[in-house]
Amino acid sequence: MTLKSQLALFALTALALALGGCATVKPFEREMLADPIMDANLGFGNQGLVDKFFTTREGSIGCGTAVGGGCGCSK
Amino acid sequence: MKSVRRTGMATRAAMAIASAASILALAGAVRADEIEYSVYYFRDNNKNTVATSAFSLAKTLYEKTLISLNIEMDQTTVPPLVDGVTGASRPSRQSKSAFRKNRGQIIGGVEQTLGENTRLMGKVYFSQEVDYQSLSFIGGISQDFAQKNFIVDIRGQYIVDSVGEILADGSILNRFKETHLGTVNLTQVLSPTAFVHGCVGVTRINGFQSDPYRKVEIPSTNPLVPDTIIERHPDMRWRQVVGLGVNKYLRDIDGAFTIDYKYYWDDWGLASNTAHIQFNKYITKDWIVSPSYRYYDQAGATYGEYQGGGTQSYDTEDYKLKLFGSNGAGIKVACFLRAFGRNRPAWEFLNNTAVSAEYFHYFNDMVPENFTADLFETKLRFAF
Repeated sequence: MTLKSQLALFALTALALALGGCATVKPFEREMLADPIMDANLGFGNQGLVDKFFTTREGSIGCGTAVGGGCGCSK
Repeated sequence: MKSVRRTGMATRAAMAIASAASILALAGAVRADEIEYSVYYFRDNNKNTVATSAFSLAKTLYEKTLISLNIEMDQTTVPPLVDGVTGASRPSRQSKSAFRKNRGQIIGGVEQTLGENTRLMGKVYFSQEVDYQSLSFIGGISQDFAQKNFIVDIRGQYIVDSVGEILADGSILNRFKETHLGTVNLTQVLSPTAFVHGCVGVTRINGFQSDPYRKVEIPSTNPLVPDTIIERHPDMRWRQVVGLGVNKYLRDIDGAFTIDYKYYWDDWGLASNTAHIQFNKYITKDWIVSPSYRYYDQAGATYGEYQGGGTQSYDTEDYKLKLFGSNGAGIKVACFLRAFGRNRPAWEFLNNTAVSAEYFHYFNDMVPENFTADLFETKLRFAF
């Protein structure tokens, strides 16, 4: 990805966030935002076990929950 | 069904836990105290296996102070060497028998809420195995804006690794590696049923980054018997990532989808991107089914492979630095055990208990490796 593409992606992100900022959702309207199905982990924790698999088998790292090194990292 | 589902919403909101911290913040909810136990099993087509048991606890000590503890035990088994040269991620010592090692990990953390909109977090991580040791310090701050419609979360992490190599005589040679990691996460509510999130991360890794057991074949005067040298990677690596995702609740079908995209690049010339989509659906008010799909591809690192064996050259057989793509698909099922506690006062504790089971199949398109792996994970969570 070129620097221009990176800047475009970042600009799109900023734009999406800025547009969203126009809406104000009140606390009593957040019932569905709190629902477990709005979480990719369905409200459970310890997603790091699966994240670590990707981190140690691919060139991807960051923006996840995996921390630390160790078991599996040298494979 | 919808009216029943809504009566259970407060309970569900209370059961949302640490991993969904941003969702909780969006909802203005308080994180519940909880205990969770996980069992994880990994197996690949080379018969490498990892079995993990993990226990975690989150407990509010005072009104705005939460402590967390995570303990994890792993057992890794690597089969005997096949060719004794490439792709072998185990010591050559006792190479005719499987290499099995255990690993322990502990993470302790504190989260402090300041006022209505600010949270501070600190964690210490330590892991130990026979040929690897890791110590990490993590700190972060999360700030809510615009009536919790916009959340900024900033995290920093420092990791010190001791990368060991078990030598032929059984002694261990340790090498140093340190990692600095910074991440900014932004979350914005779009509507009562949707939010978008983005992240930017930078990682700096300095020190020994090779596999101490992996060797690289190089040409020799006898083409039938190539020479081998130890893998050698550069000592410094800067890695970056940007990500963007959206979560949307679909009222009409009692479901929700999450879509994420991430782009990674680094100064070794490796660039990659991944997309993940997941659909979560209530099939009854207590059961959720969640299929998912993940795509990943990467361009190979550009510093090359065998470059002559000089002191400044780098040599690798690490497939993670080569061109490849991968696909993964999984399915997860979660159940709120309150379904079994209804009309049974003695089983009331099940009202705050949930279990999940997940299967994920992963494969990449590398030839001839054709790496495939299967992951199984089950979780039991009890909120109190």
